[in-house]
Amino acid sequence: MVNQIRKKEIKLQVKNMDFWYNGTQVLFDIGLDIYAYHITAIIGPSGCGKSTLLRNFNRMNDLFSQARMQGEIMYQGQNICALETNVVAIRQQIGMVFQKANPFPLSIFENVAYGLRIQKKDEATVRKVVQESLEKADLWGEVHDRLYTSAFRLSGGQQQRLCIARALAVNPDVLLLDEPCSALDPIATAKIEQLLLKLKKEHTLIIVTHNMQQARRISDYTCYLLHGKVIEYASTAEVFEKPQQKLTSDYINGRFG
Amino acid sequence: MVGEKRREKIYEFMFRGITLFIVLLLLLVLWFLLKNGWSVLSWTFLSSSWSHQDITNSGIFPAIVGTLLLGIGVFLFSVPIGIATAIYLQEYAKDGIFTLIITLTIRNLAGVPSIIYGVFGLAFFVWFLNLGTSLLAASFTLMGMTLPWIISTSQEALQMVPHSFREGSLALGATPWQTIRKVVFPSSLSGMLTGSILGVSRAMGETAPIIMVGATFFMPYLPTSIFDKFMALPYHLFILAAQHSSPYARQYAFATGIVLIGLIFIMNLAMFALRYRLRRKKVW
Repeated sequence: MVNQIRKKEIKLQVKNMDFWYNGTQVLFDIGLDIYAYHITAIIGPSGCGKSTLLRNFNRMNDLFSQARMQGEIMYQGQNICALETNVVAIRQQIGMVFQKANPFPLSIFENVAYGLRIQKKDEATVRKVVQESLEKADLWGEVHDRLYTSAFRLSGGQQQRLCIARALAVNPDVLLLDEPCSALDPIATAKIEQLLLKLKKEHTLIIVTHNMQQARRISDYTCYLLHGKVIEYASTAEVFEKPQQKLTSDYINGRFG
Repeated sequence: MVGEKRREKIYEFMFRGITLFIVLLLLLVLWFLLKNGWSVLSWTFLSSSWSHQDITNSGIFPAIVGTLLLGIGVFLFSVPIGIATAIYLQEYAKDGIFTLIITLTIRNLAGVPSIIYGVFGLAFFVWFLNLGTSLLAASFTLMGMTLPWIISTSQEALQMVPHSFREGSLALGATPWQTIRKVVFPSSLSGMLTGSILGVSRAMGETAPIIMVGATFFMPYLPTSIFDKFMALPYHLFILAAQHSSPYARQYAFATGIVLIGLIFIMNLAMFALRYRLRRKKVW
C-alpha cells in the first residue's frame, strides 16, 4: 500500500522547459514528471541534449555563461529554473555523479567528508557519516583500512563509487547520474547498477545513459530524447516492449543512433 | 625512404644544436663572471660592511641584505595582489569588455620599461605618498613590474586545475568561493608560487628603478626600518663597474655579479625543490 502511494508521488515536475546554449536552442518544451523513489532513465543518441537536461535539475549549466533557460522545474514548491533560486541549497538536495569519476586530490576520507565540512558539521558527525556513506556505496569493505591514502590510488570503478559516496554524504533527496558507467568495465558497471537499485529505496534517481541495456536493467521509467525533444516517456517496460512512437522503436531496436 | 629518415635525423640534430646554444650562453655568462671576479671573492667580501676607500678589505654584506629585504618586500606586496587578480580573472570574471580591459592593462603593464616604473615610483610613492626614498617605496615600485608576471603565471596554474574538480565541488553544494579555497587554490599553489618567485627574483636584479626610489651606494649600517634607504647588489655592481676610481673596482664588480646571480640561482633551486615536493602529491 505504501509503495502504491509512493509510486504516484512526483518528486520533480518539468513543464514547458526550453534551453538555449550560445543562442542555439538545445531543449524544446520539455515536460516530465519524475517519480519519487524510482529510477528514471534518460536515453537518446549523442548530442540529443540528455546531459543538458540532467544538468538543469541542479543548475549545473549555470557554469556556462552562454546558457539560458526558460520554463519550470518544480521541486518542493519552488521553481528550480527561476533566477532567484538558491542554487547552492538546491545542489545540496539534488546531488550529481559525473561521467568520469572526479575525486578531489584529497584522501578517500576527505573526499567523502567534503560536503559535510562545507556544511560545518562537527568531527564526530563527519566520521560517522563518512563511514555510513562508504557503506551505502559498497566501498567501506574495500577501503576501510586505507581511508587516508589518496583517492587517486583507487581503481576507476572504486573512484566512481567513491564519488557516489561523496554525493550520498550530504544526504541528497535526488541523485543525478550522468552516464556514470561509461568509462567502466562490465564488472564495475554491474556493481554500480546493483548499488543504484539499492539506493532508490531512499533516494530518487535520474540516470542519463547511452546504454539501452542498462536503462532496461535498472530503470523504472524511461524517457527517450531526440533532438532536444521528449519523444516518449513511460514505464521502462512499455517503452522497450511496446513503444508508441516509431522513432522510439527505431532507436531501441538499433536501427539508428 | 632511407633519405627521408636521414633528413629527419639532420633536422633533429639541428634543432638540438640550437637548443644547446642556450646552455652555452649561460655557461659563457658564468665563465666571464667567474674569470674576472673569482680571485677577489672571499669571506671578508661576503660578510663585511662596505668601505668606499678601502674596497679590498671591505665587503658587500649590506648590499646582500638590502637585496634580500627588497625581494621579501616585493614578494609580500605583489604575490597576494597578483594571485587575487588571477583568481578573479580566471574563476569569476565573465567574458566581456571589462575583462578585456583588465587583460589588456596587464599586458601593457608588462611592457612598461623599468625606468618608467622608477620615475613613477619617485613621483608617487616617494613624493606624493611621502614614503621617502626607502625600502618601502622601492618594494611598491617594483611591484608594478612583477605583477603582470605573477598574474599570468598564476592564471596558467589555475587553468591547469581540471574543470571536473570545480564541477564536483559545486555539485556538492559548495559556493564558488568554497570551491576556490578548498580545491582550486591548493591544486594550483605550486604553479602560482613558481611564477611568483621567478617574478620576484627578476625584480631583485633590477637596477634602474630602485636608484630613484631608495637604493643607495653607501650606508654605514643595515636598514633598520622599512623607511630606511638600502644598499642593493645590482646598483653596487653598476657603481663599481662604471663609476669607481679604484683600479680594483672592476674585479669587485664581477665578484658582486657572482653573488647576485648566485643568490638568484639559490632562490630558483629552492623553488624547484618546493615545486617538486608539492607536485609529488598530485597524481591527476
